[in-house]
Amino acid sequence: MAFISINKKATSEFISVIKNLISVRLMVVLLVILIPVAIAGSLIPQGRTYPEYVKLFGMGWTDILYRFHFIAVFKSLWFLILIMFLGSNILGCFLKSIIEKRRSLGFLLVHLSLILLIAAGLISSVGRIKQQVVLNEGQSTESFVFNNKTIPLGFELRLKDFELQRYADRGGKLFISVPGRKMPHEFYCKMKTWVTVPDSSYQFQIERYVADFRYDMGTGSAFSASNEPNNPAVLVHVKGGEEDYSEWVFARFSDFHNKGNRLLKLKYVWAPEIPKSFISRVEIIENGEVVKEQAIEVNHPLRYGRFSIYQASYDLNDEKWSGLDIVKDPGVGLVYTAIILMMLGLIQNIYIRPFFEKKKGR
Amino acid sequence: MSESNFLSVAFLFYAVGALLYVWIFFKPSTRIRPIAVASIVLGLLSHTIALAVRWKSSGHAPLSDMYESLVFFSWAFVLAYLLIDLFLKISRLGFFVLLCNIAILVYAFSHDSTIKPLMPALQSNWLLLHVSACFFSYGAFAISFIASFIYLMPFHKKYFSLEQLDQVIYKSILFGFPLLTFGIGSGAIWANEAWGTYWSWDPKETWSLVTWLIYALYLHLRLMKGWRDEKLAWVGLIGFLSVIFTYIGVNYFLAGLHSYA
Repeated sequence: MAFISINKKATSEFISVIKNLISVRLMVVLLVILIPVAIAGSLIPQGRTYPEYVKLFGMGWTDILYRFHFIAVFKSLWFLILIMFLGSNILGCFLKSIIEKRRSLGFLLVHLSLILLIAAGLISSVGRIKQQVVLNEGQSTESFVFNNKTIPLGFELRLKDFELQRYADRGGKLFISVPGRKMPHEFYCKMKTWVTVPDSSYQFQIERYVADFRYDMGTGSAFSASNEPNNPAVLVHVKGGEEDYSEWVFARFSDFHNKGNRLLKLKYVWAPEIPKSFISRVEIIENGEVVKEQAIEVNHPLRYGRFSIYQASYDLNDEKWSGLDIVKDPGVGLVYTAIILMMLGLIQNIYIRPFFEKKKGR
Repeated sequence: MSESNFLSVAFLFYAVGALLYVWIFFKPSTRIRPIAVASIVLGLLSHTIALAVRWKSSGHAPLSDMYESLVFFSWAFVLAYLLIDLFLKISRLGFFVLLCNIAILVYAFSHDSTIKPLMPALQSNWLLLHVSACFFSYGAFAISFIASFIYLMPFHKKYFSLEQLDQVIYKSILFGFPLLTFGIGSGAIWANEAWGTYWSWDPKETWSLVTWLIYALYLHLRLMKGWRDEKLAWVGLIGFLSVIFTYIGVNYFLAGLHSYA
């Protein structure tokens, strides 16, 4: 009798534990814990060195941060356990809802998608490969090293050339002072486009830019001595009223161009050129033959075989090499599926179901 | 007319609307309500044209920097108010909405408004989907914030019924939550296309997740635990504070992949 009683007690305790594990109360508690944890992970700099933490927080706090893995919150074991608890709780609620048949399709889809997201995150954290390879123009590779292991690509990846395209327009600004107005108007330097100056009858356009202004007295023309911005200047064409003239405006010598009798005062503030695209033109070679050619850009990765290849970095000085991220992530497909399911579930639950219920009610 | 002219006209209509809504706040049965609504609609129309003009002259959706995003946020906020007012008749909130909207526009005007070319990472169709979904959700959450704030104020009983405020908070969050989810989801897909990582715990990502978790908590407390009181209004209020930190605070205090936004 005593054995049966203990067994019954154990069973009821087990059921109680399961009930708690799949309760909404636990979900609320987990959300309340996860919110400050995520905030802490964003406010405390992650993955820095010990001296950097000491400098930021002092020795005592640094030791606490290290002890509780607050230096890598989202990779810590306790964070993983929290997420696993949340996943179990959602899975329990999901299964309970299916058994009891008391939840809508939308509810089921949203909670299924959350389970898939957590599963995808776990799969990615275990099976993800991401490694940058640096290739000089003309250089190729058939493998890369990830976590001290050489991983074959299954093909040869060759960088034909790297190109950094810049916007034709300058990155700097032109300030134009109009008589009778306290603050000057400012304009982004757009090349070869007529722009109207507010509060005046004037228009202007920027006709030319030179990075290192020099003047050839012989030919009477301006030229750039180098590509370095040693003496940046823009040639501005102004017309309006009875005036129609072009003048060079210098970033370093702002008073040099002003001819005194001009109504408009111009000032040029130089800024670095803005990159438009980083382009790595690559070839995929198999058995000595080029089987694919593609320009890899940000937002336009190359997908071939098991890998996706992304534009990641480049040679800042000579633009002769390119850094390409080679990625293989078995969790991506599941993440995309989860996002689609979640959206379908939310739309069904929040927009479609109430609409039909209202219609039915009428 | 230039973009700034249209925006100034919109600002003027919103200001006139705010004054009219002061009257409506004290006398909701007044006949000037249609004029106040017309003022907002005309403001929104002018605001829409301003956005279209900027879009045409820049060649990309006006969502690429702080100035553009604030102007768009203001537009989404007014649009969310008109939509919610259509269903829930919340004209007494109109004054607070327009006052906040004027503050958003003034803050926008304090930023550099020159059109800048798009950096490579932003040259994607995902820019429009991801950012506009986020800002529509922010617009709806802003309405819920105003209603939550009034709910927690001692004077609310004189002018609002608790049931009405609760409905506004709940429905606004319900409207914004799927949009925020889409914003985060599309951001993850875009990040994977651009950098090969769908989630990198970048501060903006983390804070958008925090916001999502707070609103998920709100919905669970209301739908599953049956909360309807001040405590729930606090959750709605905190949710929007998280939105503000995600949108503005992260840019100033935490560096990351979204440092341009």
